[in-house]
Amino acid sequence: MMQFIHKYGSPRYFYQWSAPWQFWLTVLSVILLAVGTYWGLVIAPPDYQMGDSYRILYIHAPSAWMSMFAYMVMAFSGIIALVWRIKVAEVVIGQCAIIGGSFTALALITGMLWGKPMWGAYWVWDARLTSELVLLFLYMGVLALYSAFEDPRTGAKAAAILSIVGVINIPIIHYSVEWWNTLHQGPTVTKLDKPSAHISMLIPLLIMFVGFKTYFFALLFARVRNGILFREKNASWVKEVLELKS
Amino acid sequence: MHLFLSVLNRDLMLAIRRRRELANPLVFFIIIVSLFPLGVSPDKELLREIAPGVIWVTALLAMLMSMDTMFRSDYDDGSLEQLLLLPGPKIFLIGAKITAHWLSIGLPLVILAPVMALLLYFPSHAIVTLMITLLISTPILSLLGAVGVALTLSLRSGGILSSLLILPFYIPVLIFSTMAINAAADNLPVSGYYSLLGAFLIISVLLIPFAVVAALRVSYN
Amino acid sequence: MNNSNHLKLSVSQLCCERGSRTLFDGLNFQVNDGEAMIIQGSNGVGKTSLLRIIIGLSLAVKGEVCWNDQEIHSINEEFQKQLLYIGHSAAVKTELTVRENLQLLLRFWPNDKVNIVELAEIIGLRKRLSVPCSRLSAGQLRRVSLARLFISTQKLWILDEPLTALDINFIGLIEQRLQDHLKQGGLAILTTHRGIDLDQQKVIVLEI
Repeated sequence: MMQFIHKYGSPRYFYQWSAPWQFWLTVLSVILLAVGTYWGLVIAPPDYQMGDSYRILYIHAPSAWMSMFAYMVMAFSGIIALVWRIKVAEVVIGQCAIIGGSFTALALITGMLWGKPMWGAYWVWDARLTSELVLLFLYMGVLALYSAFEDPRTGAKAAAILSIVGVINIPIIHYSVEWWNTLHQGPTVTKLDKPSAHISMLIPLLIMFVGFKTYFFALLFARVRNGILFREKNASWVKEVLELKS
Repeated sequence: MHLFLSVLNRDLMLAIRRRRELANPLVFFIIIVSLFPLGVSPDKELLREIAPGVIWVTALLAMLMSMDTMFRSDYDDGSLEQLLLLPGPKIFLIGAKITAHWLSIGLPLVILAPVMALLLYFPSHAIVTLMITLLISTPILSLLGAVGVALTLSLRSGGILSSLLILPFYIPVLIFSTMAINAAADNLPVSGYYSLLGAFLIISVLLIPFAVVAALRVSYN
Repeated sequence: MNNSNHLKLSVSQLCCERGSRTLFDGLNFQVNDGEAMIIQGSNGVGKTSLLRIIIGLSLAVKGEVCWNDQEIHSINEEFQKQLLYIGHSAAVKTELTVRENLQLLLRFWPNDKVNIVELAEIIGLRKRLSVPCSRLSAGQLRRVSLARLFISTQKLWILDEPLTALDINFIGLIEQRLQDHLKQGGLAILTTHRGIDLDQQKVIVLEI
């Protein structure tokens, strides 16, 4: 286990093995997102209550989901960074915070755009939007802490501790907010088990989910690889890589 | 246990010497609460309605303001590293420092809150609930705050950053406490809220000292 | 004092980085009982960082520090019982009086053989026992923190610039105390800008 982690986590080896992953994930995400978007926006039938405005769901729901997922990935790499002191995991924390924070912001913006036709206002203190807003605060905290230190390794370790504390707290925050606002709609994913949502609407949603997920990992690989090159800029293997490219 | 008591004793002795400095957050609490009637309106009904939220948010800010005193001066004059090098489990050391912080800031706030509640026409039968929620929750605030302070100890402008990090974690405490107070004002049962806050307190007491020790290690690296 | 029991502190393949800068790498040395090691080097070489790694407060990027052949983090408590560290900062609470500060020292590092008045006498602050430390001079503050040396039962002394701000008389006293400590089978590692008079000494110079 230790050997496995150290081998795949060494910056140089990671840079090598992640290259094909990054490429194929990018290809896959482009295809899935294109198919999902076309299907969702054009082929899927309009909702009998909400008309065409529900279609923003195809962006909103996956980004809300990915905002949570990115936090889990961040906390998980936080544990790896603290326990095994793996450099790559340290880079992952910072990049996850940026990507996850952007997904959270996207979920909030699309949620507000959806809210206008739904509730007649851009902002409603609905449980899901509020949770998402708190999540954005958490991401901003991790990012601020990550970048506050002169030494990036110290920043990464501090951010790792914060994200681990955060991951224990997120369920508590989430339930307290839900309880505070019992008038919420219910998370969208649970619609999957309800027969009420039409199957022709669900398939593109699922494609978008998978598309967002592959996009997340493609982006993460790209950013982490870049981050590693930057952090290891004095190492000889990085100089070799950069010379080969130029 | 010896370590816990010695450090607690030391920190309380220091707190007594610094009482003027420690009084500032309490004065802040009093002033901010009295600004609300001036800024919103002296209307009885309205003030009664917003009282739980106002008192709780202000108490939370007062706690945050005082958080820096927990480790800052010990870090700056080098005594924190001496304490960390004492043989014995570090969580007792951290626990003692957090307890001392709560005794010198949290407890006075619990005692002060009913007075401020009366200024906001808060119904007297709910004041006990207000005090109990503060009594259970302010230790949680001290504990969570310790993580933020410990993480930002080596930064020059750590104070404001640690507030930003920690405030989102205060949300459940804020929600459960104000809901309990509102329920009490409406003569509804509140024991469920107490159990939730109590559970949150127990989890925090058990887990957070470890996070603080880890955070201090990072700050010293 | 059990002299037959051999004590040693050894450091192997130690590497320390600050940001992207490597302060030192592949550092090896060993200090045995009765020996003192003086670490010299210009500012910013990493003397304090090295001391912090040795006491276990910071972690090295690579390498390990061993106390009697055991890695210090694996015998944390045992190691800390034998450790006396005096850092750059005095670790004296300026809100408290000299007496209270000395009381704190004796509470955390108990020693039945010394009482507060004697201790104050040694560090030359007997007449100022009830003065708040905020009114002391830098040299006097340093003396309060060096009072640790005179109540020490610990075997391993790690001192970071112990002689700063001290007058000649007190420097002589500290040198004498160090000498006694080594004779009794103790170990010492210290950094200093100025020379220090010790009979037997081993000097390591840190180079980048």
